[in-house]
Amino acid sequence: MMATDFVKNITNKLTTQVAVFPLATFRVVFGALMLFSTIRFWYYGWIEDFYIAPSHFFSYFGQDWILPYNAPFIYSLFIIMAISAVGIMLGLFFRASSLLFFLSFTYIELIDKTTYLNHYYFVSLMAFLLLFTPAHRALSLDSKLFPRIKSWVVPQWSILALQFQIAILYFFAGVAKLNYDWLFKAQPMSLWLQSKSDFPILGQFFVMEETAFIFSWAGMLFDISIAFLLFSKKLRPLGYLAVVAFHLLTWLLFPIGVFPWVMIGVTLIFFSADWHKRLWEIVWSSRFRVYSFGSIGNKTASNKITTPNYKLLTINYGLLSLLAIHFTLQLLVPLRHHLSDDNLYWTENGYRFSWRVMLMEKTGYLEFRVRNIATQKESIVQTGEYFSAFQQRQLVTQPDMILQAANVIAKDYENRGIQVEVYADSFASLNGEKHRPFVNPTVNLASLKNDQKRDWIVQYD
Amino acid sequence: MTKYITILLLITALFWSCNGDEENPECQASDPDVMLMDIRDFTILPAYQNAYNKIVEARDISQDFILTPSQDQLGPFRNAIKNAWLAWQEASGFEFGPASDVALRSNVNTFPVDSFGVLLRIENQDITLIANDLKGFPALDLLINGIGSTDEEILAIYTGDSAADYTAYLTAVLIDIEDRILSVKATWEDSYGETFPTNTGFSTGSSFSMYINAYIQDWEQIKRERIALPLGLLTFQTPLPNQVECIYGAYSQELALAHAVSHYNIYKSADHLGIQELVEGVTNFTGNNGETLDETMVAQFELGIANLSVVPDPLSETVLLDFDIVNEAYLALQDMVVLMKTDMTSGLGISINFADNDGD
Repeated sequence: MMATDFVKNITNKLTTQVAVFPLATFRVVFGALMLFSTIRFWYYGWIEDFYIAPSHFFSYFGQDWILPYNAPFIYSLFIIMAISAVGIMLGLFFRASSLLFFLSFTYIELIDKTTYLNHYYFVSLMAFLLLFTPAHRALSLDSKLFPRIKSWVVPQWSILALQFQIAILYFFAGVAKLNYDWLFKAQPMSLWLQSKSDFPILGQFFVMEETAFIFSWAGMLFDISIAFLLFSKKLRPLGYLAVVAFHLLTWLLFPIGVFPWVMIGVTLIFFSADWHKRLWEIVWSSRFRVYSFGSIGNKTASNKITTPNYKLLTINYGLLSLLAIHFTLQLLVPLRHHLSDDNLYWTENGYRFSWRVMLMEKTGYLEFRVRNIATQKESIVQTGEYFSAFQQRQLVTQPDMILQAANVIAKDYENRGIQVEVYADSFASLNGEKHRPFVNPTVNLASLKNDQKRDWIVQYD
Repeated sequence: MTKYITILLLITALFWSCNGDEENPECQASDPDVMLMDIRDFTILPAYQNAYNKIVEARDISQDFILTPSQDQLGPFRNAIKNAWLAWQEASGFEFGPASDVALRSNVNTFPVDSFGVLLRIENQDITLIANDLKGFPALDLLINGIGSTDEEILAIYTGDSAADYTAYLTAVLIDIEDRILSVKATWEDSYGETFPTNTGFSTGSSFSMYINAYIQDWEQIKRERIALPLGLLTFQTPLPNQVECIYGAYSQELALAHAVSHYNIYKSADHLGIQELVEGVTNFTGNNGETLDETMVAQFELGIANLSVVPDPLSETVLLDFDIVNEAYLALQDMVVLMKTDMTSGLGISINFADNDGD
């Protein structure tokens, strides 16, 4: 009885009809940023460098399952990405556009672990959620072309889902910073700031030890608290100011591409419907006079919509269940590293997809060595013959990639009729500490297919 | 709210206007970096100047040799070439900016030389020097040390019927090396030398980042191309004696040692600012016995140089006769790479790459 009431209550809340404005802003901003980001990626020649030039890729799906790729196909995906980003922005064929964007973007990201970035993962998630929202029901070309879909209201969940996903990113990023090195040694912040002494005006402050501590703690507090600030009507302006300041600073200091702009853009979704309505009125230079709204989540009478365009969207329980599953996973996946006793930063078992953003400084050295099983003679492998410079740089510190690389090498020798064992002589340095042995040099990596247990990595103590 | 955002945007604009816009004079870092100026004036420019002087000297002496190819002329000419080759080892580590634009290192020192190709082209009187393994110091080595098994045989060629074809090729190779070093040197003395100290910081594309990446990459070439490859470490322990740097003159070890020593000198930069001063600033590193990173690197340099200096020439024979002595040198050079690629780069906040990409 209680339980059903609870579900009913939640369902009611989630399906409350609220104004479309925040979602419309989000659609435009997200689409524009994705268009920019796609063009930028192309312009820098990264399509060629990352997805066409390499002869091997590091799949997420085990050793042998490589997603199909070739130059025309990859370029087509990027063209689809750019066009569908425009579609999202303009609200044109919105469902198809957001589906195509989600699929093309995610496909590209899944080709190679080398290019994994938390912000790409975040973009995939945003595109996935956006796909289910009715963000095109107003202020869009779709609503002009197909007037019957036009509606000034959307269900509350469609905005909440995006907000919640953003909140998860920040909160987990903050929790990840609750570690000894970050808080009490100001590492790796101190290392990063040391190299910024040439920064205009502020450089002399960046190299001070105090600054590294202030930045470390401020970053942690920002990440942990920002979602709460943004959810609070009263603290929201302060919160958004912090978002802008924080991301601008990271943009100025670190090579993190468009990520700061994406975050500054998408966090606008936290502002009230009224705020977004005014924004649209300024941009449009006209007033949307048909009704007035209370702010999102504010259960006042003004939230009850009585406009000519009002159209009840039926409650889709299937969709709500899907979202429930999605967010349950979103809360669990970042915690999965607790299933193993490994030093997370060393073995990176459960490091990706967990919002560990700019959390460590890891450098490494690695050389593969093959042993001919028949003759027992050894040979050093020229890793550059198999992998791009970027792939080599990424793999030296990431165990699962090392294992995949070892298997690629073993298979190549096998194809040439030589059965080999593959070993790695490797060292890594974490947060500026002296390098330590990384991969156990006596383990034949080609014999390991499953890397769930990373006992072939030398323990970090 | 609007007010705050305006202020923030103004501050951003202030920094933004100079972000990555090195062409705009107002945006160049206020002061050229003193250390970068030292590196330019006391490390890089003198190395190019010296390499250039020595190759010019060698070409001067080549005139005498060409005029009167005799045993008396051959000795000094060989010496001049050797000195130029040794001087090149000290300039090899700056393969970024002007040098990498023209692929200087591959143009002047790709080994082993394609001996057959060179002789074929001499026969065809073709001095276009299209491929890197048809020219550079290793081609000079062939032409003065390798085209006969005795000095008499070599001199016989330079006094024989096709002497003119040989000297034409020899001169073309000398001029090619000279011109290429000169052009890179000139760019350093001019435009690039001016911007180098103003491209400050340690991020990808900064002068420090390029300098140190090039430095590490060049050190790796001592280890891999000069030692591991001929020793057979890349070929299931089948030595490849013909892959040594200087196969005919038989002083590959001397060249490799000069190369390693020059890296140590670049590191220390004598009385001037250089990599050592940067490494001394790294505080987070503690060696096994409490050493600093600088102390650890200095010890490793000295070990590498010591192990390399006991390897006897000709290296092409030593790799066949004494695996262990060469391997000891290899291991010491490799341990240095580990220090450079892990501790030094993280300590300095430099990432191991030349190309840009996003991080998160």
